[in-house]
Amino acid sequence: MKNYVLPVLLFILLLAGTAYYLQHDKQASAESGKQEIGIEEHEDDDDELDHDIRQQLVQGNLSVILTTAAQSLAGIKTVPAETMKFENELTTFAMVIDPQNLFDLRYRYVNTLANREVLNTTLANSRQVLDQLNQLNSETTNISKRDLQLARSQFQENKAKKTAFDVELHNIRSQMIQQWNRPLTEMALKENSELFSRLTNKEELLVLMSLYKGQKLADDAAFVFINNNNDRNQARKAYVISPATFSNQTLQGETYFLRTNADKFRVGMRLHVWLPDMRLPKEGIHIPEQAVVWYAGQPWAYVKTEDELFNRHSLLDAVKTDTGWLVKENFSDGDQLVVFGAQTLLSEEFKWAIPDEDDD
Amino acid sequence: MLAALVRFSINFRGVVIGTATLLMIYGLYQLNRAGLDIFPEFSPNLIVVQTEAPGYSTERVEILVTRPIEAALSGLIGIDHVRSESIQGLSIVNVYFEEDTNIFRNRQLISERLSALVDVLPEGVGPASPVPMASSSATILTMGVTSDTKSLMELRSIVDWNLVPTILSVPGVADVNVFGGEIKQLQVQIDKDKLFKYGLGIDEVVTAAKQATGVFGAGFIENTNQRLTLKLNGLPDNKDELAKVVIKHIDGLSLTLGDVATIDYGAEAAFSKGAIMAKEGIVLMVIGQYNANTLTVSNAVEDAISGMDKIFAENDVSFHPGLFRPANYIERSVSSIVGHLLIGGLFVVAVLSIFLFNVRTAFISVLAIPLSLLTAILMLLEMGINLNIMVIGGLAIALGEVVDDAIIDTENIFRRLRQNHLSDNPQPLKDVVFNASMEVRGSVVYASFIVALVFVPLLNLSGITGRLFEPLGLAYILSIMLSLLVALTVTPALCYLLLANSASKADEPFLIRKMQQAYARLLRFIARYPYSIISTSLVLCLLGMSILPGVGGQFIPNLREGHYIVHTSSISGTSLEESIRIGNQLTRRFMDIPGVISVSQWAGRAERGADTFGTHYSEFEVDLKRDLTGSEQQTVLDEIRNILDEFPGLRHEAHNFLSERIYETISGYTAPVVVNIYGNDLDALDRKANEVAQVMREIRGARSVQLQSSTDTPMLSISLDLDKLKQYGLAPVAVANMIKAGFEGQVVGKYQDTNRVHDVVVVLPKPERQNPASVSELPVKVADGLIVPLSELADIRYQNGRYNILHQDGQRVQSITSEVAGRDIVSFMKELESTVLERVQFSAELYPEFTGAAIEQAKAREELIVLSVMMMLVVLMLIFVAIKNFWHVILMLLNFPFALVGGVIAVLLTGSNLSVGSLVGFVTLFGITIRNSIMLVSHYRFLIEEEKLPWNLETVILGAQERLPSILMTALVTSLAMMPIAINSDNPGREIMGPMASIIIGGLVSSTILNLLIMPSIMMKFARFRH
Repeated sequence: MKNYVLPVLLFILLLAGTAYYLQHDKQASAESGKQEIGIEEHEDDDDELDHDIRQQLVQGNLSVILTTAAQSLAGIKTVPAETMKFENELTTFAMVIDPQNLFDLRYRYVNTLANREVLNTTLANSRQVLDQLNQLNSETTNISKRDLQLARSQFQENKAKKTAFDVELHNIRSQMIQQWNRPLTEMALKENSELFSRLTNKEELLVLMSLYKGQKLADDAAFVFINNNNDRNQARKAYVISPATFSNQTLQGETYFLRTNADKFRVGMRLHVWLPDMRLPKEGIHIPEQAVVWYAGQPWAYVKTEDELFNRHSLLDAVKTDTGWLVKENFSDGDQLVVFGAQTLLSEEFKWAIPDEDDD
Repeated sequence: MLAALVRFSINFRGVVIGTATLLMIYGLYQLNRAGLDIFPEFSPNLIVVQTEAPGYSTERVEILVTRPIEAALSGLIGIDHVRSESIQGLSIVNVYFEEDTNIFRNRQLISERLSALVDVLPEGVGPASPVPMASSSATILTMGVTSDTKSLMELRSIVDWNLVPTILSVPGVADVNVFGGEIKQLQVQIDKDKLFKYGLGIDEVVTAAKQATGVFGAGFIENTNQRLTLKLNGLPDNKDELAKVVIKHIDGLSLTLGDVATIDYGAEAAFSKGAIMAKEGIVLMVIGQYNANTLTVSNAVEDAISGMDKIFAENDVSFHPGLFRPANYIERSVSSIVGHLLIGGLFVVAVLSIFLFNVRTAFISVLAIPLSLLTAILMLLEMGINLNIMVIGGLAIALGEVVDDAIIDTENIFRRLRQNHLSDNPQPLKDVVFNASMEVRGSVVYASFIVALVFVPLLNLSGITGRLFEPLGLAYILSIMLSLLVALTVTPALCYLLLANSASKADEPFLIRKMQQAYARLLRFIARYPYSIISTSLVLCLLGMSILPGVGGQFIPNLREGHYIVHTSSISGTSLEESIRIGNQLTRRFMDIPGVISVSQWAGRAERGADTFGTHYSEFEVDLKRDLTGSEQQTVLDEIRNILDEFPGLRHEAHNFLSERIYETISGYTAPVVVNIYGNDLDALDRKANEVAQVMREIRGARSVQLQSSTDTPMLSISLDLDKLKQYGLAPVAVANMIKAGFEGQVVGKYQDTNRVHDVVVVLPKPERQNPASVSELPVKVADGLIVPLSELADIRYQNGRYNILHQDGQRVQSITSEVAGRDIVSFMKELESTVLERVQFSAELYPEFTGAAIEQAKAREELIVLSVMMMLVVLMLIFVAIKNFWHVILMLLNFPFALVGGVIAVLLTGSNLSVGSLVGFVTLFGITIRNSIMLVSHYRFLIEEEKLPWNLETVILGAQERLPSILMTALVTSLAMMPIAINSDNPGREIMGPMASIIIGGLVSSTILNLLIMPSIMMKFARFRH
């Protein structure tokens, strides 16, 4: 029996060892779930610490810190910010309109006016006849009452006719103002109107310019540029006559009458228009488009504040231009704007938010 | 039954040997024809349903596409779980079936359900279709094209119309994923200013373009004599003709498409971009079909495209055929391993010849080995299991038992024949051979079954481990079972044929005689100090076991494939341009690393792929010089990781390809801790997830706490003002269509360019599509003919949105993942669960689930432990049946730790980690040891019960002496065969088998010492036999 003691002891030891091993193994496996399924600790390259030390708070703002080597590796490039004077242009459309209706009205007006002049003479004559007959009747009473009544009625008739002409003239003028606005009406009715004669002679054309809703023409704007194609360089001046009284069929904004040299334009043509943008400031820091990144619903640009420090500045109050943004605040002349690698900096700043693609 | 089989084999030796010869010839023939692969198919039983939804936002994709698909697929027989991801323009539904279901039937069921969805999905979406079933390794070849003179559009045309069809025609190719280039379209690029100018709506342009383009048939005329085909000509089929198409008449003028749009060839909206050596181009990834053999398909693809060099040269295109070729690794591994196995084979022959000192005996033993293995290979091939490293591994580790089977039998018959010759009363030779064979047979059969049983849990492992190691287990079990069959049939037959006469005349082999004498002296010496020996063994065992938990663990060792895959991911919303810019920066640095020969990159996703990678995601193929050693490859990897660590704003991973595929295949989250929040309201889900994340961050040990569904993707939100639409007499869908046409493009027809057909698309010009301000300015024609900008009808604002929406079993889920450091995960999970439930309020509609890889693994481990314990009990019962004495069973079991200690020391000496492969090595070792122990104990019993010897030191020494040759030969032959694989195992082909081989060699050393020196002493001291 004594001989059995050692083997039994050994067996118990062995069982205890196995139990310990299994327990230890279970715990070890739990401590590294990833390791269990095969991903070695060092193979998970996403280095949690590494991006923590690439950020720091500078005056309350979170800055991205990148060594010069990392900047070069990531191809980050900056340019100095510059203040720019800016004259942006808006584009819109215009149409060469047929002024025939204006011509017709003017013709009617002039015609009526001429008729009224003739009538004025007739009225003067009939008044003179009536006056003479009245005098003769009162002095000699040798004229027939009938002649006197006839002359009176002739005079009254002519007077009424004159009133009618006056009314018609007023109506035509009103119609012209209504349809073509006062300045153009005035020009049209003005005797020896140069514009009208140029319009009549087809030396100049009348253009209806329509602005988009929200667009404004400066109060002092005397001219805009127009062309029948999209070539701004070949565009020519068109002079503002007045706000128009009717709208374009397609656009909703304000309309204006313009005049321009006829040359290559014909009635019915649709023209491109360039006019100064009144909404933009005339001066500000220009942020090029490639420097802008969107985050949290607003545009931002990165500025290199020190050799290895980058700060993200908001462009919320900036104004969009054709080539980028114009900003008055948050940026200064000479700021080093990141024009290549802004998205990389954004990624670095929000590296914690980059999901692990394997965990899908 | 065994006796009948052995007797039959001796009597009909000609038939048995003839059959064996035929099997060998057929086996060699099949072996030459068999394809080779690295790993068995390890992909899960998964069908991926992919649906393109061009232009749809993430939320729309989820509601209009993913949900109907999930609903259609729900309730299918055999579904385990369904996960889906909806991203902008794409829905991916992953349907995981139970592992034992037929994947082809599953695919059929899915296809049937999907066919009913045609009318359910919105117009322009889909079709919803299962992606081609790819092999587990998926990529067969990665190649690329670049050009100095050709545009990306021209390159893409060459790829799409020449290269891809050629590759797709190769049997075994499932798909070709094309990254980069520009897909040609005939675009009607609307000038929005001109729409304002002429008062036209986008819909009018779309209608005009639709009515002008298309490829139509016109039918035929048939009379009594002839059939005349009607051929329709004159439809606009080039840009000049399309420009002449009239949209409408205005004031007597005909307004044409050319008046309001630029008609030109343009590029389709890109899903991806590609670059090769930092030069923009096209990257092609050839995907192998399910079960396709990588090597065979690679060669076939290369043959198919070999004739295309001329086309590339003519077009001034640089073709990069081997950016990544997984077959290189297979070729290198297989040639390396076959070379080593051949060297091992020579060792086997040498050892057997020296020990047995008889050419015929050595021949029989040597012949049994390839016969057993070839028959096993034949059976595996018949079972549809291709040859791969795991199968070769199974065969290699079975070598110990196979060699042992051959040696035990031959050696015993040889010895008995010799003894019979020297005996005063010689028996008939047939009887001697039969008896000698039967003498060892019983224990050999038991031992073989026991060893096979030990491997059964390996066949029942779940998940990817199971799929990877099942062929290894099968190969192992088949090898030892067939080796047993050979030992029962061919070996006795050959022994009778070749040894019956010659062995009688042979002397006992010199070397064995000398060794037996020396061994007897040694045993006598050891027998004097049994307790010292046992104590020393015990100390060694405890030392070894104490080391084991400290050894690092790994699923599979680092594979030296000569290639690395690098993933990078920036914040979502990063453009393709930026991803390629970053990629080019990285590529230039990678190329500076000595040993790197090519670097290619793709960003985004392929058109028909199953991935949901956004434009912020890139993958790099870094190919290395062919002759780099394992350590040199590791240096390159370290350097790559250093560069990636330096690069700002990137999450990254660098793996070798196969590890990558394995990790990708592991289903579910790889993070150890996952909290899933289920609910319907996305905002509520996000809020709750953020609360949970906040709580999680405060728990000690939490690292890298992340929300899996990102809500930081920049978006331009267009909210239509329905009152305004009413005021203008517009239908919301009409506006939506105009927006889609403007920015996504509206396909209006097709045009034929020689033999190629391209889309005709109405879309805004590229600069407009790149400018966010264009959205506000998009012209919309309202009911009374007025044109208003979109900003008049909608509230347009930038905001952050969701990149993706995830579903688990049809429910919206937001997951929070975390790593754990500095404490054990079980206590972490407990604290997390209680803290979250205490501090975060949940409702019936919004509830959490605490899970994670570690939990899942723990469950799997529990199953494995239960199965292993059950199997061990069965093994114990079998051992008991074999040696028929419970006390002896206990004595044998006590010895096992000592046998395993050698393996542990080998792990330490080679500096490797414990992988599943290493565990297989230990299991094998257990098998060899148990077998040797059974054989020794059985032999003692034979000596005492059959030969009536007394149980004393002399009998102990005699029994051990008689077992010495076979134990020593088995150990030597197996160790020497494994040696070339074990040495320098961190090299191609030896990474998995190398550690196994080291453990087996180390274990064999300790196991042999145990069996030869300690076991007899213990038996002498503690064992008792009854006559």
